[in-house]
Amino acid sequence: MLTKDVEIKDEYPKEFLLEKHAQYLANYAKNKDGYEQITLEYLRMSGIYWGLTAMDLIDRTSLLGHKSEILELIKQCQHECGGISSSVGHDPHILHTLSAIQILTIYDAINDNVIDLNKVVTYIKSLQQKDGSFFGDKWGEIDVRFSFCAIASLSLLNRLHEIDINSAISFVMKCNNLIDGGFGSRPGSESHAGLVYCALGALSLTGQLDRINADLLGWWLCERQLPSGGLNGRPEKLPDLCYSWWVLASLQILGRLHWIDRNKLMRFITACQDEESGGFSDRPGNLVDPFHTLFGIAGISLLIHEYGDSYDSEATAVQMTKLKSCVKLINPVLCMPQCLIDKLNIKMQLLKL
Amino acid sequence: MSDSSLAERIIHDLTAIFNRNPNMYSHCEPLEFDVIPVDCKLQNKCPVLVVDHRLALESWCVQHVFTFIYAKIIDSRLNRLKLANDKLKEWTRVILLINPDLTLAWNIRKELVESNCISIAEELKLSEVILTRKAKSPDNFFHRQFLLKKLLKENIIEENIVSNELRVSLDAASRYQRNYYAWAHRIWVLQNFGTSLNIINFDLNVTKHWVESHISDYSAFHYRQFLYSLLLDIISAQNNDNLSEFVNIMQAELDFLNGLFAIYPDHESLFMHRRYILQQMCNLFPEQVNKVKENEVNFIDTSVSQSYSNSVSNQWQFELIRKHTIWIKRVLKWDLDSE
Repeated sequence: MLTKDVEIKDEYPKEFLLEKHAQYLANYAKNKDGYEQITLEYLRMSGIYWGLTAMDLIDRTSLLGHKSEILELIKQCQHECGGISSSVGHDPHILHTLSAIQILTIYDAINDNVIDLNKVVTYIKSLQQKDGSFFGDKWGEIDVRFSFCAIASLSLLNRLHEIDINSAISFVMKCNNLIDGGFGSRPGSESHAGLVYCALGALSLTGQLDRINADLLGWWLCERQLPSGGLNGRPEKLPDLCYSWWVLASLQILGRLHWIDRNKLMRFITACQDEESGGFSDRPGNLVDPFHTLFGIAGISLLIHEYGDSYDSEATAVQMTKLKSCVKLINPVLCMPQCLIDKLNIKMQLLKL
Repeated sequence: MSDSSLAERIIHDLTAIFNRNPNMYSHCEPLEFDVIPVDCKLQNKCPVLVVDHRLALESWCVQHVFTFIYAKIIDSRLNRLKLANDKLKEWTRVILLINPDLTLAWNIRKELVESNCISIAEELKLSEVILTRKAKSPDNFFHRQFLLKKLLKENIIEENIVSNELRVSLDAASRYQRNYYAWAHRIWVLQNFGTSLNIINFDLNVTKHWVESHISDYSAFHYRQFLYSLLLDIISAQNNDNLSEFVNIMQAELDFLNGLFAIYPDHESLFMHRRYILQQMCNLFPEQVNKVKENEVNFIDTSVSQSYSNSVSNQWQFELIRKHTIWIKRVLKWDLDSE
C-alpha cells in the first residue's frame, strides 16, 4: 500500500497514562539549563503555555510549583513597545504575546500588574495593516496565524473593539480557498489544517463563521484521517499528533466533530504516548515533547467530552467515562480549559449541524 | 583548548572561508552546508571541513559553538552593548548555519542590513547556503522576502531576481518534500514582482516536469492551480467573452493528469488536483458539464475495475475513488447513481 501512514502495533500503549504525563511535564519544567533547553529558548514562552495548559487539563498544575518565577519571566519579557518575547534577551513577537496572555489567564493573574496591558494592546494595534492583516513583529511577516494571535489576545483581554475587525476578517477570508474550503497562510497559499484552525478561530471570536462553506471545509478536514486513525494536515503528509488538535478543534468549531472516526483516532493518540517517560510524540515510537503532549491531551478532551456517547464496545465506554472525570473540557478556539473561558465570559460562535 | 577558545577558532575558520568566497560559489555551484556526525574529537584537527563547494562542521563541536555564540548574543541584547558589527555578523552567520530557527539571529542580521553593514546580494546568498541544510525554514524564507522587499523599494528590479527566486524555491522544494514555505515563497514572489504570460508559461512548464518526478507533492499541484488563476486573469482581461482558450488549457491539464493516473493510480495529490480541474470546467463552462461528467464517469469506472485487478495497492486506491465519488456528489451535485 502506498498510503503515507504508520502502522499501529499492538504493543503501543492503549491506556491514557495521566500520572506519567504529569511527571514528564513537571520534570521538563524543572530542567532549564540543558543544551536542549538553551536551543529552545526561542520558543520558551509558548513552551510554558503548552506545559501549563496540559497540566491544567489534567488538574496537576500544583506539580509545576513555580508560578512566581513564570510571572517574573513574563514581566522581564515585555518590551518598551508593549510586545512580549519568547525569553529574556529575545525580540517581541505576537506569537509569544498571545502565549504570555494565555499563561496569565490560566494563573488568573491578568489584572495583577505583571505586565502593562495598555501597552500590549497598543503593540497589537500597531501590527495591523491597511488590508486588515497583521505583522508578526516589526519586521513585517504576514500570516493568518498572526491574525488569530491578535484576535485571540484581545478577546482574552476583552479589548477586541480596539482593532479594525472588519478589515481583519476580510483579510482572513482572502486566505480562503474555494476549491477545498480551507485556508492557507496568505491569499493564494495552499490549505493547511493548522492555518484552517487559526482562520476559524478568528472567525469564531468575531462571530463571522457564516461566511464559510462549512460542509466543504468539514469534508476536507475529515479526509485528513488516515487508515491508522491519525490525522495529517495536508494531502499525502504523514499523520502527526498535533493535527489531532488542529483538525479536531476546527471540526468542533464547525459542529462536525462526529465526521471523524473517534475510536480509530483515540487508538492513534494513545499509541503516541511514551510508556516509560510519559509525554506524547508526533507519531508512535518517536521522541516526546511538551507541544505534542498538550495536543494529545487536548484532542482526547474533545473526543471524550464533545463527541457524543456512541462507543464501539463496553470497554471503550468504561474507558471514556473514566477519562471524562480526569481530563477537563477544552475550549476549541482558545485551546484553554473551558471553565476559564466561561468564567471570563468570552463570546465566540460555534456552528451547529 | 578551552570551550570558548575552541568556539572562537571555529568561528574564525568559518569566517575565513566565507571571506575567501565572497560569492559563496565555487565551480559555479552554490555552497552547501551540513553538520556531519562525528561523535568525539579524535585528533587535534579542525572540525571545519571544506571539499569543493561543500562546507561542513563535525557534530561534536556544534554544542560548544552554539552555546558560546548564544551567550554572546543574548548578553549584547540585554546590556545593549555596542558591539563591532563585524563580530555580530560573524556570530549570527555561524549560529544560523547551526540553527536557522533562532529568529533573534535573523533579526540582528536584518538590523545589519538596514544599517548597510551587510549587502542584500550577500545576504540572499547566505540564506541559500542555510537552506541547503534546512530547506523547511519559515524564518529563512521570510528573511528573503524582507530582502526582496528592500530591493523593490529601492527600485532595483532585475530580470534575474525573479528567476533566481524560482530556482532557489524549487531547490528547497526538492530538498524537502511538500515544503509549504518554499511554495508559499514562490507564490509571494510572483504576487510581489508582477507576472507576465512569459513567466507563467515558463513556470507551468518547469513545474510540469517537476511534478512528474514528485508525484505526491500536492503543494506543487496547488502551485500550478495558482499559476492557472493568474493565467485566467490575463485571458479574461484580454478577451472577456471568449474563455475557450482556457477550456483547452484545462482539458490539456486533465489529459496530463490522466497520463499520471495511468502510472500512479493511488495518489491523493492527483485526485485533489483533479477536483480543481473539474470545478474550473463546471464553473467556467457550464455548457460543457455533460461532456465533463461523461468522461468522469468513465474515469471512475476504469479506476474501480483497475483497483480490483491491481492486488498490490488496491485498497488505498479504492478508498481514494470512494472519496472522489462522494466529493463529486456533494460538491458538483452530480447524480452518479443514475448513470
